[in-house]
Amino acid sequence: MNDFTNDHSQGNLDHVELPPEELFNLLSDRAVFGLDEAESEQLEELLQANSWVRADCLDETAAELATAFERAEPMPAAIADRIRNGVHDEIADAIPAPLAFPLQDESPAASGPSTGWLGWVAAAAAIALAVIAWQPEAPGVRNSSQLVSWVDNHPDAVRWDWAPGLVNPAEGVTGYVTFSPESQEGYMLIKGLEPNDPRIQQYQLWIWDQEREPDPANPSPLAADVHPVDGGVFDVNDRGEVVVPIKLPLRVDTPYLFAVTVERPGGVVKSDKSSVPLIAGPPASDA
Amino acid sequence: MTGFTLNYGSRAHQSPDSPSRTATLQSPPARTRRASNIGVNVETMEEPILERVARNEPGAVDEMMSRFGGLVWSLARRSCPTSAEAEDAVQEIFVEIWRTASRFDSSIAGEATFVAMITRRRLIDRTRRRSRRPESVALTESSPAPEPNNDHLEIAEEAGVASEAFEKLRPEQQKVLRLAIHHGRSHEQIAATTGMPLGTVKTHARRGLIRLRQLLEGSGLQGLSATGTLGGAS
Repeated sequence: MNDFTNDHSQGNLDHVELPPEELFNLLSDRAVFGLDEAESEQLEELLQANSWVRADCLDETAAELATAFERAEPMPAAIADRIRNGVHDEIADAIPAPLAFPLQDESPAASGPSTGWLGWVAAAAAIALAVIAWQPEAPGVRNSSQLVSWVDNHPDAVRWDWAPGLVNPAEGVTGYVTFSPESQEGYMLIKGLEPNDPRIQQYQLWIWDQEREPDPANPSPLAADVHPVDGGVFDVNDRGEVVVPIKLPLRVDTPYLFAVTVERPGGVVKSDKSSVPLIAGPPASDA
Repeated sequence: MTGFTLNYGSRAHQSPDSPSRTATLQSPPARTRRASNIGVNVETMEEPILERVARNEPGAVDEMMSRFGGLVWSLARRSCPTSAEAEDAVQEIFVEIWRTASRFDSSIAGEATFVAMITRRRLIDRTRRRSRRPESVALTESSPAPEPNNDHLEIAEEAGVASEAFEKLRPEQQKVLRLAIHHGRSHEQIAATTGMPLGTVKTHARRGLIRLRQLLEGSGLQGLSATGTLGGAS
């Protein structure tokens, strides 16, 4: 008797594919002893393959037991004061931290209808955190005018318009992504994308590189053995126009598809593609 | 499946009135359910604080620290070799709780459990980072069975149910989980202390924890199943 079954398949439990025992071993080990990096990666993969299993289930049980064991002793007053001050300082440092660069001469798109596709609250923008995975030390492009100049100066750069993605598509978003294989630099110009609360979720960019395909002449982005390059996570805290720089950990020589997914804070190694609001690729005439 | 008993398919054959099915399908709001277990309406006594923290309401962070400071401090003191390190850890933990408060779901766990979960994760991370350093806390197996914490009603209630469930585990499972969770011992240390092989230590911990979850679900304390939305405070 237990409740490790999927609430969404109540009427069909006999046909639920059982997750591997290793998944629960790792969840238990994490809850009790912690995991090393390799184990964490393995757990991540297993969770993605068994997305109906709640990742926190055994952490909660261990926490219940910890509260049962513990006889809480009051914190010494002096320590409590220092901690309280320290916590408030850290929170103050974290609010606000603009992560993209809203244009001064553009009206925010907040007056338009909310897409509501993720249910993210607009208030989140006010408490955006500085948790972006990468941020330019000295951004050279901060608005669409500068970006036009940048594209002009990088004739090798691709420049493709955003289109709604395949899962939870973001409607009404405009802008484009541009990337120069020569300089390995690029930018995303995005207007109208729902602001995110980085404490809950972040956007993550993925780039498919033809050179990394098993068959470069016939790229197939959805094939199981094709892995896009992680373009890093980013946040949008303004529904107006924002310019987000792209910096890659790996070289991309022949990009043929860009996609933005929604992931947990910090991003993931491999996306389950459960939310892909934006994609960008060559127009049909170029493909 | 081998090894432990996870009856994935069996629920389809359970009576609709069986406790676990009722707990899963009908999950009332967790706080109300827990309150009814002890005949006290907790909700009238203390307003949930984490939702207010998530909304950045003035004073909410202070109240959260006041409410859960003792629990977090005690867990940190037990895990950290020095008071100074515990102080650092507690500050880090409360900032993390502030960051993740919006993920709290009262239909899944109580606030104390959520706070303890974040706390334990941070403390485990810290312990693993300093794992090469010598131990400074004496290892003991003679600690008593967990006693409910009476400093705070919600914590006490959650702890009481968990304590009862813990007593139903096999002795070797109790021993391993007590050493791991109460004393913060690694599985290597537990193996060295008890003479159990490493694999046996992990097996007892795994089976004990899963059994504990089953017992808590039966009690209604952990109201929702292990399934649902992925992720959480990790």
